[in-house]
Amino acid sequence: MSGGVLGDDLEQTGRELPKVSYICGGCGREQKLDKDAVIRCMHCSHRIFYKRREKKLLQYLAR
Amino acid sequence: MESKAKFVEDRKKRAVVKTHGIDNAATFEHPASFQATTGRPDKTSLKDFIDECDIEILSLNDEEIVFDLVGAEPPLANALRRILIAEIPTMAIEKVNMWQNTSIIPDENLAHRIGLVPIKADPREFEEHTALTQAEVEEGVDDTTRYTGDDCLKFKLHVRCTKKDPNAPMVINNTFDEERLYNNPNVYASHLTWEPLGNQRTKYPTPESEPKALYPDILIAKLRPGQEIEMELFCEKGTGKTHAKWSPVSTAYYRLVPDIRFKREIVGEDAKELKRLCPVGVFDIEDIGGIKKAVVGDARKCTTCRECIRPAKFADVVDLGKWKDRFEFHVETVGHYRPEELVVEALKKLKEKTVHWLEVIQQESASGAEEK
Repeated sequence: MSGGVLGDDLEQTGRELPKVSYICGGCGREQKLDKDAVIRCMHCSHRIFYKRREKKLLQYLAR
Repeated sequence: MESKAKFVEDRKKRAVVKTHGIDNAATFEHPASFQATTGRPDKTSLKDFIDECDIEILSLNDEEIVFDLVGAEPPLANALRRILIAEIPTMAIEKVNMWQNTSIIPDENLAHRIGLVPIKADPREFEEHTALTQAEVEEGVDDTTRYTGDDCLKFKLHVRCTKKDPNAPMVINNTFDEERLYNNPNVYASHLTWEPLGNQRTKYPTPESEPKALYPDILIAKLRPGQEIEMELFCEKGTGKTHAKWSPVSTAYYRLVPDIRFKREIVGEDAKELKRLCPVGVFDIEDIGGIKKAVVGDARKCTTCRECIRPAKFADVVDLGKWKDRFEFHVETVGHYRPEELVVEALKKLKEKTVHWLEVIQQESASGAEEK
């Protein structure tokens, strides 16, 4: 799926893009941010956000 | 004749600790070692060995067995010790599928830590897992999909830490109590949940028979609110020679049983001094008819610190000996097996290996005869 198709979707349906969830570096609360949103926490106005670790399979040998 | 017999007996059975080192520590395995003195070769048949060899249990509880292995040579004692440490199979976590780990402990360290957790399951009920072939590895086959109920135990560990009451004060009475503030601040071995594979549910029907961590209070990781660990764990059957996590013993060691004698009597002030010299209290004082005489109380307490032979006046009097054919074995189990079971399993393994090499030798000699 290319960005163009998504953009067309947005124009046609008026739906928003899925927001990405981040963790606030100040209060630790979760916050969903838009593509062009201001990087600022709603609760504590902290300006640093951390990306969540993806839930992905990693295999290790227990040694 | 009497002194000759005593000489031979002492040479064969007793090593002596001196200030400069240990005298007469070697064992005499050749049957003719003392033939010049005694006029006949030593007994060497298997029957003689069976008659003379014995195990005397000194103490036994749920964790440890202490026994004397009598009438054996050092190679046998050492073989037994090494088999106990490295060749008795147990079940241990070998592969980790890590789905999520946002804790402060890195993935590799967490995987290693979890591998060391002892698992309560009878290894005799499992087969060894066959490793992937080179071709399968190159093909990219996931080994965890090849596990069956016969060669694997599967566990899950899914713990998430959350805040209990957001308005609760962090510190009360100058103490910060994480258990009061958070749910799951510590990940313990008891958080492991068993997932039956194949017919394992019918094999272990009751909660008591279910495989689990041997000790529920092992701390695996620490969490803070928002942190999460999610893993799938696969146990394999293995032995201590591959990795120490499979070793069924926490300690398995032996030492020679001390035999302490006096060449002359030690009386009066000297006796008191000797008693005071020994830090573990091997010596006692006996008072017979007003004369205080030093006697050996419990020779097994002796740690061979050699304090008692340091003063020149005692060096020639105290005869600090060791029985060369008497091994005091200490076997402390991790918990997979009972301690006495471990010794039996080790002896079985030793027999199995002996029989194997006997077959190899017989085949070799048979093929050698054909060539001739």
